[in-house]
Amino acid sequence: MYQLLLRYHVRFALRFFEKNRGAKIVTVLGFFAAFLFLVGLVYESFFYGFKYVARDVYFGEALSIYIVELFFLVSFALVYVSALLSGFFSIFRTSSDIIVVASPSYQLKLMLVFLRMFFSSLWPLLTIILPALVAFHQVFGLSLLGLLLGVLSSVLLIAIANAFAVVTVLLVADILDSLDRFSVRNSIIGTSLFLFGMLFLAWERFRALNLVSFFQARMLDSALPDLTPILHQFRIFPSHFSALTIFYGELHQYANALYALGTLTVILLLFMMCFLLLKGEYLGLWQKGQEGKTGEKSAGASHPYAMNTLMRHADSPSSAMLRKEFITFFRNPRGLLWLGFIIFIWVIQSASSRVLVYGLGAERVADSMIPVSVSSLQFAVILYFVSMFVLRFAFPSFSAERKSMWAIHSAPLRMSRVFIAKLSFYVALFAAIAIVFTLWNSWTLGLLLPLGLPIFVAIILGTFFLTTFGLSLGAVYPNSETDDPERLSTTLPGIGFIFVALCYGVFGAYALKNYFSGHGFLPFSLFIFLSLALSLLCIVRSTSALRDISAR
Amino acid sequence: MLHIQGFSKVFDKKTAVDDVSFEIKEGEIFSLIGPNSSGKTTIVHSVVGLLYPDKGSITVLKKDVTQFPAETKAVIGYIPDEPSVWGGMTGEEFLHFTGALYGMTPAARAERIEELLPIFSLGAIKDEYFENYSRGNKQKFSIIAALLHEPKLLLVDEPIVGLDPESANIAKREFVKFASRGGAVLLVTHTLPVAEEIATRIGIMREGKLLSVGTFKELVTSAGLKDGVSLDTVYLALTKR
Repeated sequence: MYQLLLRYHVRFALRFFEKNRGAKIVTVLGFFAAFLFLVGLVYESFFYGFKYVARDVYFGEALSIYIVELFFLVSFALVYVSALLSGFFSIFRTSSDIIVVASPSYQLKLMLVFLRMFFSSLWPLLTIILPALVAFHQVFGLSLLGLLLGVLSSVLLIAIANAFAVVTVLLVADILDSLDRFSVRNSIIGTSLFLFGMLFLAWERFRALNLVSFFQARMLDSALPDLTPILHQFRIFPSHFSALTIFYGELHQYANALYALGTLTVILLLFMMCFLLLKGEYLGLWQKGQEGKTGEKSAGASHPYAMNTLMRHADSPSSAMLRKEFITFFRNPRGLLWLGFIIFIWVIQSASSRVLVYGLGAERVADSMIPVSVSSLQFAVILYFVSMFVLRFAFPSFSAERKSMWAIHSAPLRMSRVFIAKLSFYVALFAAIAIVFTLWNSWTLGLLLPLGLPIFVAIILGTFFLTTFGLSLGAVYPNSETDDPERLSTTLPGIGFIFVALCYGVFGAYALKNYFSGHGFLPFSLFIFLSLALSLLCIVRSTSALRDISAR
Repeated sequence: MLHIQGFSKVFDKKTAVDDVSFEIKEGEIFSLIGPNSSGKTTIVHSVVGLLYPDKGSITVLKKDVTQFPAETKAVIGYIPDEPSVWGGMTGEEFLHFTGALYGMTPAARAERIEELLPIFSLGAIKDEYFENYSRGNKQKFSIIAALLHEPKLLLVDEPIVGLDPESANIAKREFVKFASRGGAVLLVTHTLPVAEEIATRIGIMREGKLLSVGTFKELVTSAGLKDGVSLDTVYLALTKR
């Protein structure tokens, strides 16, 4: 069965090049070029960050191991939550493996889901974890063997995160089923509660951390800080053993590094055992999972009256389009979970800032001493999160809807109206989220927005440009091979969007820093001009392309 | 009502429709039949504006569909072969959405929906999500959506697939009623008894070409068969020539 699937995927890849070979080779090369650029950017960021840390003779080692622990913990959390999101729907709702479920080998379905989740999760390994490990190897003298063990431990950690996610989904579903309360909706609620519980416990572990005593900053008589408190702080997380592999690899203590690797293997085997134990109940759960959208049959059962009557009051084609966007977005549980996931990452980032600021206790840097570069960096971070929203929702919007588009294409409606409706909806939504997080981040860092109106203008303008650009890319280069938003985000136009969004965020942050430090208004005015001009260009280009696509 | 002259469409060097000409008058039900990939759906898609004709002209009420897309689409009702709709919309929301796209006011839509829902007895399930409907129910909602704005030309691509026998009879009755009120119907189907039963004229296609056009009787004669044969026999005789 697995050999058959492997052969299918190999043949699928070969078939891809059968038609328009030249164009497809260029596409693939372009994809790799954009991918390598992204990897290079991540590597450079980690390399210079680690170099900066290594410069400090006293804190260098302690900070490096703290960063590695935190890095693996965050990577583990992100892979786990992302696996949970795809897990809910792959385990209970997708119809793609319906033939497997209908066959006597139905139990294979779960293993297929696990394998798919695992291989998709290797994407962050390639783009973030591997460049970070190579940077660590370059700066801290981690040997090649240590690097290899580090990569192995990362792969094991990713497998553990996925196995843990599948076990969580099945366990919660099993408990709900035993209470006769199982539905995909209840399962999502139950698993979310479990996740929030774990997050709360992790937060409690870090919230009260006093970084001054944690790093023994006041122990001036010792040559180096004791690493035990740091290692102790993370020891309850599986990611700790990946960090230990790196730590021991750096010290050339390979036996200890192998021991940490062995511990990770045992953890993975334990999860796989739980997975096998829970597999027996799966068929019944899958069958119940097919009953209605997330367990409800009608809109009236789960949504407020105002939302259910929204479409009735549409008084023009544009108004109907806008309402359609609203309804389909807020009634898409998978999309909403992804929205929650990106907000979750944002909350992790804000919480880390809070730990950093308040963990310093009395040694906290006064608000007036915080340089403007911190505010500029916050701006770049906010644009980065907006880009994540655009990449997941606005960019795939046209391709994801292609099966339903007949209803719009056959109607007497200009495609520019369709584009404007989508743009209005996504800009309003993303700008609202960006503003809330700007206020939240400023409060967290104690910046109190001394920079006022210009930063808000820049954020709204940045959101407008990124959304227009992402939506336009999706409209001009629609994908006819898949309507899965997650897969669409990793296509060549998706990678191209990430590239432009990163450059745009860096330029915006630079322009704001110049403006606030009084070094000139020109970069900021150029940022405003370019944002507006490029947005306009995107709108004109994409509406014209949509007109052509709908006609041909 | 619909006039197609010398229409051709090519996809990646493969000719899907090759120099096809026919017309449909008010009150007529014209059925296109033919094997898979014979170009029937391509014709429907080109009339409704989902595809652009490479050669020839397509006019609806004497207006070219490429030059006046908004005007021609406004008088067309389209029932697709695959009635996929946004899964998170309810049946009623979809009808309101479609009506609004055709410029109907909320009050006019509400009145018309109330009038049309009982045809297939869909009132009880109108608030359910589209993704929960069976294929047949999706098809019924798409038929109602096409009739909602009172079009003059109805394009129907495989109308009976997925419908139970009772609903299939209702659908056929609605198409006949629509034509009897002066509308024109272009019906694309593989279900030959449906074409035989309700079509006033039939066109037989193969490999992108329109082989024969005529009433059922005329087709029987042109196939060299005797009266009393079914359309299946006529079809086989004409397509195997």
